[in-house]
Amino acid sequence: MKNIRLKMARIEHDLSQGELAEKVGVTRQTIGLIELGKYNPTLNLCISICKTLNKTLDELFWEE
Amino acid sequence: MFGKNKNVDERVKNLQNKIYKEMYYVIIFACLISILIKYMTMGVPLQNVTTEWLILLISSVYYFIRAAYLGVFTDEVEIHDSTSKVKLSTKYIIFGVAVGMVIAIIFGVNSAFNYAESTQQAIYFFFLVFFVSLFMYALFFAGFLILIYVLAKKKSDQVVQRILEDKDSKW
Repeated sequence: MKNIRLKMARIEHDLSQGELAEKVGVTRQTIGLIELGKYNPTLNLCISICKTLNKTLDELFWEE
Repeated sequence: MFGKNKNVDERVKNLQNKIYKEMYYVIIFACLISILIKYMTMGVPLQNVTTEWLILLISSVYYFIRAAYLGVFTDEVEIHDSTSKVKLSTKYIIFGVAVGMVIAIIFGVNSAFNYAESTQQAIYFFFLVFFVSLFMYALFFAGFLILIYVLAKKKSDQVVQRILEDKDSKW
């Protein structure tokens, strides 16, 4: 399932996939795959992304 | 700032580990094929296949030591025993006996074909060599594997215990 909320949050911060990837220390492909719902990140990476985008885990990763 | 360079993409790392795992299987398979081909072309002397046996032995021993000293072996046993009806320790014994049996059959057939002069003698040689080899090798391999299992489990349990105690004291 695509993670639209992550994509929106990233765009809100005016970050490209590559820029977000650099900030959290992964590759652009990984961010791309997370947004496409094709890769499940570890909790550590989720937290790192949340901190970078000033969001909570629930806001970005909890599926209703 | 400097720490950022140490970051490794977890997805890439996972995929690389997957490749390493497959690579290990390829190497093991190549060794086994090499042993088989050498047995068929050069006969059974052990010195022909020493390198292959060493690769198989050293890689297995290395895995057991690392798994024990990182405490992963305890997790492995726990996961296996909670999902399987047969305990891992029992499987080790069964595997040891199976390996012993395969070797016993090979030796039995070898004796029957190479040393017997009649069919009756061939059958007698086969069973004689088979049972003696089975007794020796099955006992050896089962004992060896269970010994490795017990030692690795003991060490791994100690490591896990120490890690958990460290974590408790920090919290």
